[in-house]
Amino acid sequence: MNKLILKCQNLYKSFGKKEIIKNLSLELYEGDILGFIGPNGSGKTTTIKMILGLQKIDKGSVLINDYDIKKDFVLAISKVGAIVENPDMYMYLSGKKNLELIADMYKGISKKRIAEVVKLVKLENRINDKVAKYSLGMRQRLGIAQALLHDPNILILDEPTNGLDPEGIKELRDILKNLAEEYNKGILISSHNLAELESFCNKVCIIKNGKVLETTEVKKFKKEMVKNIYFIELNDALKAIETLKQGDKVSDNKIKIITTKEEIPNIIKKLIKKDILIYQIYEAEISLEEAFLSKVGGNVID
Amino acid sequence: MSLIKLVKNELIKVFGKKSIYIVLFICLGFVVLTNFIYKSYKEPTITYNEEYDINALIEEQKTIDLKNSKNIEWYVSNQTEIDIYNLKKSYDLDSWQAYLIPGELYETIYQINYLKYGKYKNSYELKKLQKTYNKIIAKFDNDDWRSFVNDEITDLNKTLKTEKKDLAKAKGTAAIEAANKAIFLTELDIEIANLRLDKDIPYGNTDYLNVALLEYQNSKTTWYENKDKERNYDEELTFREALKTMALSKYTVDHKYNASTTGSMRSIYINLLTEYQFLMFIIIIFSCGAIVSDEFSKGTIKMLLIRPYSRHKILLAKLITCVLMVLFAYLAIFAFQSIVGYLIYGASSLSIPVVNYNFNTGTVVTQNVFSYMGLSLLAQAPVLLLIATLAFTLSTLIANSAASIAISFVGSIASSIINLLVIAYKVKFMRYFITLNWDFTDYLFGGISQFKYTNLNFSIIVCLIYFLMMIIASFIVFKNKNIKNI
Repeated sequence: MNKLILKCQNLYKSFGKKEIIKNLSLELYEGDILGFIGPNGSGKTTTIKMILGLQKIDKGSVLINDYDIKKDFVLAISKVGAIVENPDMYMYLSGKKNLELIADMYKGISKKRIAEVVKLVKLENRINDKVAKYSLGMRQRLGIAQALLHDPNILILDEPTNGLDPEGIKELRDILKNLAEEYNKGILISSHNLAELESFCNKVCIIKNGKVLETTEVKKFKKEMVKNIYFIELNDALKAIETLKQGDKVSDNKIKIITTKEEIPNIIKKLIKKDILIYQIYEAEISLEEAFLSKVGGNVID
Repeated sequence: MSLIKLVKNELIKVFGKKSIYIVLFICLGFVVLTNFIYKSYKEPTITYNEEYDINALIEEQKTIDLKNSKNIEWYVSNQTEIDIYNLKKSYDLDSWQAYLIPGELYETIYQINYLKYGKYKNSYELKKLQKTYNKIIAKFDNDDWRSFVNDEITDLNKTLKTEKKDLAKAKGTAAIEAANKAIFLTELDIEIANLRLDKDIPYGNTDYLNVALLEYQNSKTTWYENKDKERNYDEELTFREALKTMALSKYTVDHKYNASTTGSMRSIYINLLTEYQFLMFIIIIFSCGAIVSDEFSKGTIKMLLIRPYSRHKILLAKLITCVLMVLFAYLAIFAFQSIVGYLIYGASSLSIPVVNYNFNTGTVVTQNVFSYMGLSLLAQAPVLLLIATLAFTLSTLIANSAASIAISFVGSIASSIINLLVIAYKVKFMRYFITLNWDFTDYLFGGISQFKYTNLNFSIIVCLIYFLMMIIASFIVFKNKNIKNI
């Protein structure tokens, strides 16, 4: 069993009268990549800031490696690497100088380690340039480099795919997967790019309006969401719907029905009786994004 | 140890910015400018152009009709002016002879001219006058100023004798006081005359020794007028100023100490902090006013606060950096002045020591230029440190670099205006205001403040309270700050 390394328990946070986070709990285990999904304004960044001690926790607790972030901030944070909002670095310094500044704040980070991390995020050629000259994607890489510098066992990445090109995203995915699988690190990653998260994460936590709607494994989640949806390809969609007295027309030759597996033979029988030609029946497979949208029900901020 | 690393990081951030170099460059420009201005500055000479007047008189003489006996006196007096001027010129207008000529010879020349140009002729009288004239001229030509001093002393002693008789006869406190003062003034004149002889100071009025003698005489008079009476604060200040001037001018005379050269490496060094205070403010405010707020506006604060350090430690490192920036500002300006000053003036003036009057011991203190600079830095360090703290605190509290820099500047400019007003109008409750207490220069050598309602201990306490209030506010606010989403 993998160790629990990050535990948020019943977090509450309000700005003024507005409750931003309501009773949010979440867990991260070693070796997991947890996708933290939610529409804009749902409280993802606020939660991450509470975990990192950047914002006060009104109620509830955050335990990182068994240390309470409120009481033992220094111990709790020392094994965490993070990017919050944007990879904000000192623009007037070189990428290398930025990493050296951060390395100085931990014990025993050698020049070699810096070079290693730079190589990992493929910034070797530009590392001596000022950050002001970097593209957003390069800054994102530098941000990942600084998060990895002190070899943390927890990585918290707030929208790390922002500004990365598809190639960059693929590289990031490989890096993170490698870190989780080979080095058993726990990674919490929030992103709007749900299609990307699908290939990243083994678990997801869905949040809306400050509440957790669902925490589950990606495979299971998708399965739940697609349960009992079937597509039937046939020659006459309208006639079929009339016959079955259910289902939605997808196109002239395709309908979607919600039913159980056991009912399928009966449906086929009914359609054949009416001389409808059936070409294909299959269970729907939807992407994480579709599942997410159907779960969250649109993107409404309140 | 870890704190040192944090401070090092902060310094890297401060000196990584281009703007600090722009500020330093501007400061260097100002230093160069200041040195050039002093170099080209000449002491304003009050002596109006006498020659111009004399030429006008000569023109006038031509128009005067001597046949009209009413015009004779006019003509003679004009002629005497012209003669005196020419005589002075023949010895050089700055010479001791020129200084004495009007006093010693005006009467004689006037009478000679009267006999020459007037209707009344008397060759015997003229001969007698010529003899007197020649006798004095002979002394002038022999460079024998001492005999004039001796004559003066003889005369003064005679006066003194009569004044002492007057004192014996005086009745009533007012009369006795007046008599005593007359005696004091005569004795002072004798003292000055004797100083001339002892220290070998010929008459004159522009050289530093004669200036010192005059200052000595004036300040001792002021001292005498104030020494026995109940003094209010302003009179106390005047009295102390007199004490100081008395001691320093005496020192100047006794040791032939010539430090009156303005526009030298030495004089700018001595006044480094007042001369360039504003430049130091610029460097300090620019670096300290942005030290916290820049992290907020650039978003880097998040990267800083997720490190294994408490917020107190991170802010403390920034505060220490601010203190180091104060030192840096001083050293930078010192270095600029050293280089520019050396190139423009050379360093020879630095061997002249700095003299000050110690009010506690009543003695003159001499020290070399650099130890005086150290002392004056110590006395003005609270000003620089508190300005740095103000910028730092504003930067932390309002997290806006432009605003904290601007407010700090306005504060530093307004402070001197407020000081002037408060001192002039003696507003008592303003004694708790920081700018009336943060400059300790007045307190050096046992001095007292220009402002009636403060003193050394009070000032120390006020400075400490302001410093602590700002620091505590910064630490509390920073500790509890939520890092908002941007």
